[in-house]
Amino acid sequence: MNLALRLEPLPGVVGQVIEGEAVLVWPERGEVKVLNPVGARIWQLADGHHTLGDIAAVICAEYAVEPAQAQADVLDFAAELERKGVVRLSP
Amino acid sequence: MDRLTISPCGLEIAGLSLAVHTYDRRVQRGLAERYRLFPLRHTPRLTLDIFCVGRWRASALLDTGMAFDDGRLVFTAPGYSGYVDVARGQGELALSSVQPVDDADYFVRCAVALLAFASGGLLLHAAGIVRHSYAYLFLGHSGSGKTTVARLSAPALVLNDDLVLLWPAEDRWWAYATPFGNPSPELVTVAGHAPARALLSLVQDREVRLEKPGPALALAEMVGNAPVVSADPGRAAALLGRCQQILQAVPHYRLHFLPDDSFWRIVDDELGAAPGAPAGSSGAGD
Repeated sequence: MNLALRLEPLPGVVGQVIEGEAVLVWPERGEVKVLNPVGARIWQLADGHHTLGDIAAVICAEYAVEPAQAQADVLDFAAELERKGVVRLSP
Repeated sequence: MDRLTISPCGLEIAGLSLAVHTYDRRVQRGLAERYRLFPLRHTPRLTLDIFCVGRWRASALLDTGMAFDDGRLVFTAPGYSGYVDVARGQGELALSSVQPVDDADYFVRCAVALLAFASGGLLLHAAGIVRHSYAYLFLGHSGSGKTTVARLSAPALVLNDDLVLLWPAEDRWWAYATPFGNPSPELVTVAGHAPARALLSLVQDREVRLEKPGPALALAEMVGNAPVVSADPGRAAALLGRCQQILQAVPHYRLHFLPDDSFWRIVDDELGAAPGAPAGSSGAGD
């Protein structure tokens, strides 16, 4: 896991951002999840083009978080989403 | 091909018409009894053929192998094989079960869920209760308290204690009874409908209160209680849109409740009179 990886949703996972939060639907697993505003912002940037480093930079700027903290949080969050089968990480 | 049938049975809810053809007398009689309050009056929009081929499935609670294939609902479990294709208006089930009526009813429920969605409505896991001529929908999965809430609401009209149809008409959303409830001598299903007043997600608690969650949580709870449709990746985006559309017209709350009828005082006090009186609702009661 490193900041150069790109993040994108797996096929079949659908998300919708509403008033700063995100609702994610995994139909094949019958799961629905709500992401808080930071998670929702990361989800919006998970398009297969932004690297985790890019995403961390956005979080750092928009939430006034120290870069090291933003990077650590983004890495942890990406790892969690990957573990849950929501996203895939690619070089 | 001529359909093998004793006589077709079917049901109709809010204009959603569905016919069931089967050569199995037990299934035909069982479904006809369950759906007797929802008679088929118009040309069916969906026709289901059910073939009973044995007694392999020992319980109607066994997995049905439900999945989606390009919009078609398919079942692939041993003793439960078939499909529902709403676009083509047809479905088939080859059933091998010792409880064929329950298994066939489940097939019909799935078909109704898809037909409702394709037609602009939504089937919800909810107890629907009519009070002061408006329908309150209590959302929740098994064990959340839907049947308890229904029992505690007597003598109010209970549309259903498990599955209610939300249907758009006359610029508002209406809650319709369905025949798909939890069998109970205490709860009598009546075919009725009323304008939807509120969606209330049930939370078993030690206090009684209404909580107004944010729009994302409301949407998530609604999507999570939309059976069958929520399992199709191909319909997920449209389901989110449909639920948002409903939530724009029907407010959502979390209802923290005790196992008594005290929640109605909170609901009445905090929700009060609904905006706009209904023009008239058949079967709505108090």
